[in-house]
Amino acid sequence: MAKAAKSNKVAKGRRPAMKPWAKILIFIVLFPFAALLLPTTLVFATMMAPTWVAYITDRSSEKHLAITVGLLNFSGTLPAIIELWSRGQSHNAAMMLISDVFVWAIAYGAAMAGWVLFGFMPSLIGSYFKMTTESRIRNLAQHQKNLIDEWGHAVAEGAGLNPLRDELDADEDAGPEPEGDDPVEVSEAQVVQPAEAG
Amino acid sequence: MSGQTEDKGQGAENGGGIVMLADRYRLRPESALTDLNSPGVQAFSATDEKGTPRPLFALVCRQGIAARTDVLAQFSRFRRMPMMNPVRHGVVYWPPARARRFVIVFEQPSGERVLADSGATIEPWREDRVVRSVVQPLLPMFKELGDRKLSHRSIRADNLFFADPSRESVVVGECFSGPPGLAQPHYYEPIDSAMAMPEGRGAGTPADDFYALGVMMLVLLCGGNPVADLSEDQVVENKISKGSYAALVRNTRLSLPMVEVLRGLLCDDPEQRWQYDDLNMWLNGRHLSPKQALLPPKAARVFEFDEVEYVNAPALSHALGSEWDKALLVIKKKDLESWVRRSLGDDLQADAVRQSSQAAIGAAGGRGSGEDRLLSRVLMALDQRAPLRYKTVSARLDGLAQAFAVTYQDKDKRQMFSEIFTQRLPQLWIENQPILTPELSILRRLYDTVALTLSKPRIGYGLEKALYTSNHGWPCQSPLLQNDYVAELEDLLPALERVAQQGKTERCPVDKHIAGFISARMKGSIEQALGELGNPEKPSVFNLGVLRLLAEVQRAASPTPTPYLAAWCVALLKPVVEGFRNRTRREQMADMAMRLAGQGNLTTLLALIDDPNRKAADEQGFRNAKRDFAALVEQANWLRGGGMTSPAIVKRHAREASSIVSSVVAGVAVLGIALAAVI
Repeated sequence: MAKAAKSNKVAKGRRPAMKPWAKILIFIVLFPFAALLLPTTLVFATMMAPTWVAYITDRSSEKHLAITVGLLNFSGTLPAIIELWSRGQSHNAAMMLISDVFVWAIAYGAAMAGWVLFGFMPSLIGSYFKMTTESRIRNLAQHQKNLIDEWGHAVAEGAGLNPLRDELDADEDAGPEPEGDDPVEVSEAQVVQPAEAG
Repeated sequence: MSGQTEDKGQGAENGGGIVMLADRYRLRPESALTDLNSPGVQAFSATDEKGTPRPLFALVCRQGIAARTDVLAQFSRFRRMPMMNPVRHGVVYWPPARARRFVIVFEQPSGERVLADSGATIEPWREDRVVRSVVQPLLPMFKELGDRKLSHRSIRADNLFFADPSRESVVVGECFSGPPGLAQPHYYEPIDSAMAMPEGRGAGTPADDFYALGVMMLVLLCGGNPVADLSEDQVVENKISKGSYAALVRNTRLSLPMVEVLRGLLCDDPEQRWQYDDLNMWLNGRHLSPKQALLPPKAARVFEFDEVEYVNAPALSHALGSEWDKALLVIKKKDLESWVRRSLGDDLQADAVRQSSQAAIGAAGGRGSGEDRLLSRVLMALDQRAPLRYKTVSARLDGLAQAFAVTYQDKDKRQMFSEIFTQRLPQLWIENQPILTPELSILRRLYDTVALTLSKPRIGYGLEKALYTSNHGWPCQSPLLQNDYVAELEDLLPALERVAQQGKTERCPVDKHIAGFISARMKGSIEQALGELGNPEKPSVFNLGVLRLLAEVQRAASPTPTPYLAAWCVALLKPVVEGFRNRTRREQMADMAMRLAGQGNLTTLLALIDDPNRKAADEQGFRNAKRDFAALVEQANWLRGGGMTSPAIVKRHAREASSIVSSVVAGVAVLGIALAAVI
């Protein structure tokens, strides 16, 4: 059951790979346009090279690296495309733009920014999630304390090993023992084999 | 005096030691009237504060002994009778005892006591004076008592007062301050009653009063006790062997008419004994043939027991009953049976003795209650009319319950009575009688109930309930009420309220005596409360039973608010309140309980504590809270297990986040570039 659920979860997380006939269809549709707009195609293909590299190196099905790099790479390439179109979309203009270092710097710089973003994002997200986890754990401990205050320690019986015991114990040490409740110690045996709830 | 109803708890304590009964009769503890004392009961001066001034006195009854409340109301209806009639009775706080006592107010007699005490001697009265001053004036009283089937049971010379200073007439003293027959000297009692212990003589019948009248006449004629030189056992044995007349009159010189009346009054057969009509005819000069003594069959040869020779079964039965341990040895031999069969010639009696003796012989080894039971049966077989005897207990059947009550504080006696009831000896005694009268049927039902009660040795049953079931007016013997007098159910809660008011709340307000008292007096079912009281090891259940029982009493008999008692109960209910899981609910209930206690309504308090919906809501809430807690633990485990911070999770979210950030940045850039191009 658990295995099946896991496989379902994995399947749900991955986007289905594009089928070969779909790729061929896209190529057939785009090829006339590319041929018709050959100068634009040349500039685009040259300036979007980092995206192709990212697409190839990103082994995940979602292709987040390609998306991240591609979108920024595209925003860096777009001024050159507009410039090409403003010069009449000739082969000369295309070659001039391709030979312009500044155009390369903008397009590839944007792609690099995407790459850098992709590289630093895990540490940012990790820090954020760590902070969030600590906050949620504090909230959980407070909820548990409230329940124990209201219902007594018996409410914790059979709930298995409570990872927040230290937090609860610290709170109880700080405040008076709730009147009328018998403190419930979770023994090692209960840790190994939690009592049934209820 | 028309208001002769019983007063309960209306006595008021006065700071100066003056006690008021029913806000009318003023009792003076400092003014004792020793001449009017009854045996064991002190008399004090009293006055009527609202009615006609007249000399009164009050008898302050003993603690723990019931007055004859069952006949007080009936006697108080008698008018112009030559007897002390109760004017008023009730319970008052009695300062010298620092306790509440049952008191009875009487009019003081105009003359002094005829005989100072039972051992005193006076100048012997002439026969005509006895007839004129005693028999004639008292005859209407005997008629009233006989018609109503009431017995006075205190007809004796030392309870006789001159009705006026001229000493020409007499009145009979009171008979209410103690159990019937308890204070009578043995020689005033018929044979069966004289054989019984004083506590076990019972109310008897009007015939017992006529017998006592005969003895009293003889005492006056003799100027004192006619058998003062004989022991009690000798008197009883003489009465059995010779008949009461011969045993008491002995050599006293009497006229023929006096012989006639004394033979009639001292006849040992109650059916043949003179009663009102016979006495009235005798007074009118119609002479009847003297009654001959009804003597028991005489044996052809004597039976020796304890170095004394006996020639009839009743005398032997009496002797055996008096020497229980030696009698146990006798019934193990066949001598007794053969003596009854051969010397007395009574095969039925012999068979009854044989059956009991054989069983006794078959009894194993040491002495057990089985042997005692068999000896008791042998004694019944030897003398059907004798009282029931068992070890040192000897009581008439209608006085058995009373003897049980009077001797209740004696541990050994209590055990003996318990054995008597559980072994169904009263029922055996009744079965042994030649005729089953309606009175005996009533007694059999009573003792069946008592045996059933004793078969359940738990709180609310057992000896305590048996005590109050078999003695309807007996005051509750609970140590909590030792300074009070609680004989009726409606008096119980006010008494407990007083205890609570005095702050004596260390103990539980319900003990075995109070539970037994309530169980015996309550008409409705209290099984649920008694069931809860059967769990003393669980305070929450037991204390709830206490409240439920007291609430039942308040609902049924005593609707007066009892705030102090309620507060006492609230303190006891802490374990019950603590039984609720929810802290807020507990605090709310404790607050509400204290508020309700102030109103003194135990039923409302019970409804608060014992609300099944509240309990169910608490349990459901607890289950939900457990489930929530388990979910919290699960979440905490997930978080602590890296649910959000594991590298894979972080990586996945980071990739998604970078895509999103990239999309946003690119979107903004494209939009800016497009706008710039357009402009």
